[in-house]
Amino acid sequence: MADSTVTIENVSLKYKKTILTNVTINAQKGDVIGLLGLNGSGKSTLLSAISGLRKTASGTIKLSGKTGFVTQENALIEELTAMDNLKMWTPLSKAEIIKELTETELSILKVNDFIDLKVKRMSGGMKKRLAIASVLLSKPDILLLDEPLAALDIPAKNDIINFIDSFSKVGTVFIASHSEELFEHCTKIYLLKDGTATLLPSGISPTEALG
Amino acid sequence: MIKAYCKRVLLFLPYVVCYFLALGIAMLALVMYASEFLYENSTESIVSVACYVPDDESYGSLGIGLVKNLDSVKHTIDIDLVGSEQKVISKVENGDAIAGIIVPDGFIETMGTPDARQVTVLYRDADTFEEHVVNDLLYAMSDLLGTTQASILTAREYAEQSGLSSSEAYDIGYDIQSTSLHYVMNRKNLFHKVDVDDLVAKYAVRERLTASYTLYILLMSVFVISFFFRGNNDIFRARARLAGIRTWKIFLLEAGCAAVMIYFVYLLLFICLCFIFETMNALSLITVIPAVLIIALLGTSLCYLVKSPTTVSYITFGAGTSLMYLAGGLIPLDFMPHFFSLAAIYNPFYYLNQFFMRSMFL
Repeated sequence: MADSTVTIENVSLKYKKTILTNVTINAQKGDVIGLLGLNGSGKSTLLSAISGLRKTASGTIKLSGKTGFVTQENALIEELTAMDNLKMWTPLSKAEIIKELTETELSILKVNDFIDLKVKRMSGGMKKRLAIASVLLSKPDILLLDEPLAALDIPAKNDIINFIDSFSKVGTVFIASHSEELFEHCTKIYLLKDGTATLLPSGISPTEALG
Repeated sequence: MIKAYCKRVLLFLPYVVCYFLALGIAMLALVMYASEFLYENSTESIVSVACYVPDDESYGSLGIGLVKNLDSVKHTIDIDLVGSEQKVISKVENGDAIAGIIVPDGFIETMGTPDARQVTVLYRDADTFEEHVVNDLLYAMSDLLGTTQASILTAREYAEQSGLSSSEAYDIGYDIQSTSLHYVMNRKNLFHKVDVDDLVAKYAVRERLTASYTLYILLMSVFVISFFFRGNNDIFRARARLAGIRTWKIFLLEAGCAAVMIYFVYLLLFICLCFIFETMNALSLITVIPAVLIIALLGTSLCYLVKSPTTVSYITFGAGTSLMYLAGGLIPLDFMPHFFSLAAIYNPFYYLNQFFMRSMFL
């Protein structure tokens, strides 16, 4: 993988009104950046901006490396199987996909266990794992995860946390979440509050930070 | 992605087909019932025509008698032979007859001479279904009487020609006229000129309703297919953009899939209808393709604009049904007030409907 760095400098974001102003974040390969904030604080908007889906009102976002964005809601097609959904977004053959799912860090997600199951018959955890695998097949250097643990049971959460740990060794991860257990695995946590992003000092828990 | 969409089409088709085959059967039953109801033998004549034939015109009376017994006439037109021209006028005036036919004195004697007298046909303010029937009667009668010479006047015009005060003679709607008469005159040139209205008159109610209901089913298919679209979902579009796939490509792919599904519905309906109608035109399997593409593109655009399948269904049912109704697609314009016939020419669905009728049965 390429050297993955993210440099966000004085970025302001607007969505109908100004959401964030003068956000500055630097992330290197191996960083797991946690974005903490209440609903509507701009976490998802910031991830969208990093992915390039949303334009910034001002400031610059420089990326070195390819991004993969796992959104809060999935883009899966319900009536198709996991394999069909994966094949939609990648030029890889079925055999190559199986190989990726079983022989790389993606094996942690255990997608191969339900590869022929239709999405409409999957649990929330399965869908989330499949959504992450779908993005990861394109070999991103920077992974953006929006609420990756929302509404998941403990085994599914553990699988995804293990995967994030594994991925952080080779890339950069941005996570927007409310989940305290996930922030334990972050190298830096930014608190998004009152339109600004501030680095959370060590020793302060996310719950305390949110007040 | 194309392969995945092909697979989706195959998975979606059974739902679409089952839904619309059921709807199609229900609508066909309605068409059959409606046409049977209109034309069954026991049904009383639905159009009354007052007819005056002078006493000395025995040949004319014989002609009228023959016309009355024609299959195409006897179940649809009640020819009421009256004793005087004034009674014809009176019946038209009072609405007891939709039209009046006055055979003049000396009609037979002068036939074929420069002084040939003309049959006069009076119309009440109707240029709808009844008029088609009356007009057919006129042709049948003209043939039997050995002439196509007939003067076609509104009751008001006849009153004026006769020196009567139109206000005292008639209280008949004034707004008939040019549209109606132009139409009638076009009908006189039927063998040279065919226009949309002639086709409406030419085809039986059953074929007309079947064609328009088929179109209606295809329009409504957008509502079921709306669940198929994913390109109207922001998350899906974002995912596609990150994968380097532009939205317009997804739009075209989904519109193409919608067209395939709509066409498949038509194909199945066509096959089913072939067992019922001998007049089905196999060429329509090709000629409807542009219409199917238009429906698919409009449907896909609607689904992309509105996004929510529930709202799409509201719009499809609400706007689609209303426009089809106003275009005479659900109930023939002939059975509706005159205003609907005038309004229909501004309705694009009217032309789509005509297109389907021509395509399926011509």
